[in-house]
Amino acid sequence: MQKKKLSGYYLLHTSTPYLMLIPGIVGIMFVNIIPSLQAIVMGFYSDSFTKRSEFVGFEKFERILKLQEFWQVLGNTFFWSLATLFFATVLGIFAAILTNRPYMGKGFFRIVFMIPWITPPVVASMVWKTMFNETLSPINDALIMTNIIDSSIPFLINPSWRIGPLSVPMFSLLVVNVWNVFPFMMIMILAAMQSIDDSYYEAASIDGAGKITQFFKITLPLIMPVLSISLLLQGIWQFNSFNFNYLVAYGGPLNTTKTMAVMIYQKAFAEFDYGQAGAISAVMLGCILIPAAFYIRHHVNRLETVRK
Amino acid sequence: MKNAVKKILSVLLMKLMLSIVSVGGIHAAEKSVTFWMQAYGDRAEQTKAMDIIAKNFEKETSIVLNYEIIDWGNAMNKYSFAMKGGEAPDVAEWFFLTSFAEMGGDEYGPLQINDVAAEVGAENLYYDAAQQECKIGNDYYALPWRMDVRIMAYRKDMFEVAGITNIPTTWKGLIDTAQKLTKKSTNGKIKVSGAAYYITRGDFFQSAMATMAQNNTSVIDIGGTKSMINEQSAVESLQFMQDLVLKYEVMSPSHASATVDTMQEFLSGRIAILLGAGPDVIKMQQASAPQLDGKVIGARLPSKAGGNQTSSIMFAAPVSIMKTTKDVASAKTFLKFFMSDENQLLISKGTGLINANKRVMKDNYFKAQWYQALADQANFAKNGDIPVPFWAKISAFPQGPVANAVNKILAGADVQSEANMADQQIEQIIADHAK
Repeated sequence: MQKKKLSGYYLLHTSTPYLMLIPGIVGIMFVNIIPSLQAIVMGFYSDSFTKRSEFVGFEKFERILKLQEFWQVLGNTFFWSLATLFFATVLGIFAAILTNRPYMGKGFFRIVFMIPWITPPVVASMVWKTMFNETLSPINDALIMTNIIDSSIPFLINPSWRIGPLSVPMFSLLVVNVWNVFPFMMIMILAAMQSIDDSYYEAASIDGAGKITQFFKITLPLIMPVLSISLLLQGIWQFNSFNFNYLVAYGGPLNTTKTMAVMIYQKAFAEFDYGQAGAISAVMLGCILIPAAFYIRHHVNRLETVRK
Repeated sequence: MKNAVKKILSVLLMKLMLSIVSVGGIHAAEKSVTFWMQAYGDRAEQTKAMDIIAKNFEKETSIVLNYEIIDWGNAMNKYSFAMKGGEAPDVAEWFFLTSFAEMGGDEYGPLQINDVAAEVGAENLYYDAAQQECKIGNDYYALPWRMDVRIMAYRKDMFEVAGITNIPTTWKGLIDTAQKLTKKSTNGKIKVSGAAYYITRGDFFQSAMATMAQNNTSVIDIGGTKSMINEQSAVESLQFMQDLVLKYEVMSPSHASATVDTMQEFLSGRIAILLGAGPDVIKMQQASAPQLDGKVIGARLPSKAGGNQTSSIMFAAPVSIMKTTKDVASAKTFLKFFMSDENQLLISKGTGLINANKRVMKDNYFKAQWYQALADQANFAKNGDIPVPFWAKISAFPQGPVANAVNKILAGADVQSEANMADQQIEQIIADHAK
């Protein structure tokens, strides 16, 4: 009798952690994985919202690859992600260095720098729309009053000037996005910097290393694990960027600010072309999954090497 | 002791269960109707009117009305999901009746209501154009309430300053008038546009439809069998739109921006003539710019040739009962109540819209200048939504074939090339639907 009880207890004890995982896994399956797979499968069916769908194979994929708009949007999305990552990281590092020093009011500035990140995207979009309105923009008013410019800057108007994905509307929205993203980078880098022992800097100072040398030889290598994970996360999030591109500019003018997420939304819910939306989703998943898988595998291999 | 506690707990549990069932029973016995309606004009006024209708409906019928006012930005999504089995109201005030009916199929979508139409005398009560948007074939699937017809609104004060006394009735007249009203800064940028289209988000689709109507053409034929956008009349219309911006420079190119609301620009004095103004402009003016009372005047839109040619587009809002309603009788009761003359007058006043009901339009309220202009234009307007199932795809913004072409044309692209591309895309949509 006691032996049976022991084995029952043992079974319960060892399987409990797995049982605890089941609700979470089921939730993720139904909320995340299954709908994502369904969206991709939709890309293999005809769209017709008025008729029953039928299997069309790769026809939708062929159609989108022939669309000039698709290649423009793909280029926009890569440019958007990389440019945001670069400028948000640089600004984040700068803000982290500034708020890592001991001085009065440091806490206040940390909070102020966090404001862009905690502002709801819809609210921020409404404000930035006014900031970019040619006639109502306070930015234009200030620049004209101080004689820096003599006519309003057309932030979001039909772009006559464009180099690839870079245009005035794209640059305008990048400013908004970097403003929104840099606090996240700042916080992650700041947390990593605070874990660096001061003795490293003291030793470097004694050896005659300047501030810039200390940053590149001490700070950057030591924050790299945190920085690389932050870059991966932000890279994925920015590749999926929708909020400002849609809420401020609706992906326009003339697709100059459109990202793949906006294109999927418009294909599905404005043009009722669910098949094309599904096909674009599949392409988007491939674009993110492949580099992310390589990175994670490399990172895990490196951790295992360090552990050994 | 243990037994006593168990008994007490059992009694309490039973009492709780009985209470829940009785409360549920009470609510089950209470009838209700859910009604979705689009947002029009001053939201506070619309809500006030609907609150009165809801209160009176409950008083008369003991049926509770739960209404929801939907933003235009969400409406397409909400109704699309409803047509695929998502959340749906009992009664809906909506649009694209034919598209949604086909989307909903046999299970979802609007209910045929020939009986209700006969009871209210729909055939003689409503304007013909409004009835067209409520029928599929010869059957009524909705009753029309509002008429949304687009007119020309102009600033009387700005006309007086420029010394203009005649209202333009032709395209040439419009250009001449607009040129006199346009003001530019020292570096040539337009500060005040002589004329501009009534748009938000940079969506010129309805402006393009109205401009084509002024040249006696359209995007597709009425049967939805072929595209007409690259035919001579349509290309002329698109060229006219481009010329307003690039050749005659009476319309600011900034209006194509997603951040611009030309109605606000008009009320702010940065546009003198608003082409395709919606009926709600006057309500917005009264609410946000009361200092302009008597200075915002409505008039018939000019056409290419002038005279009594069609020069605008109009829409009626169909009000339908959904097939998914669990209480058809209550839904029909509400529909008849909402469509009564008294309530239609109330909701028209609350939203600033004219009505599809001929009796309601005889009320003194519609004697005001603005509403007289709308009623006059209604006689020279054609349907803005062509009743074909794939109309939602053709009119899609911003990447629908027409919206896309117009935006590129206003940015300076070759009109014929863009019209040809739009034509191919429209023909593809027609062909896809025919499969």
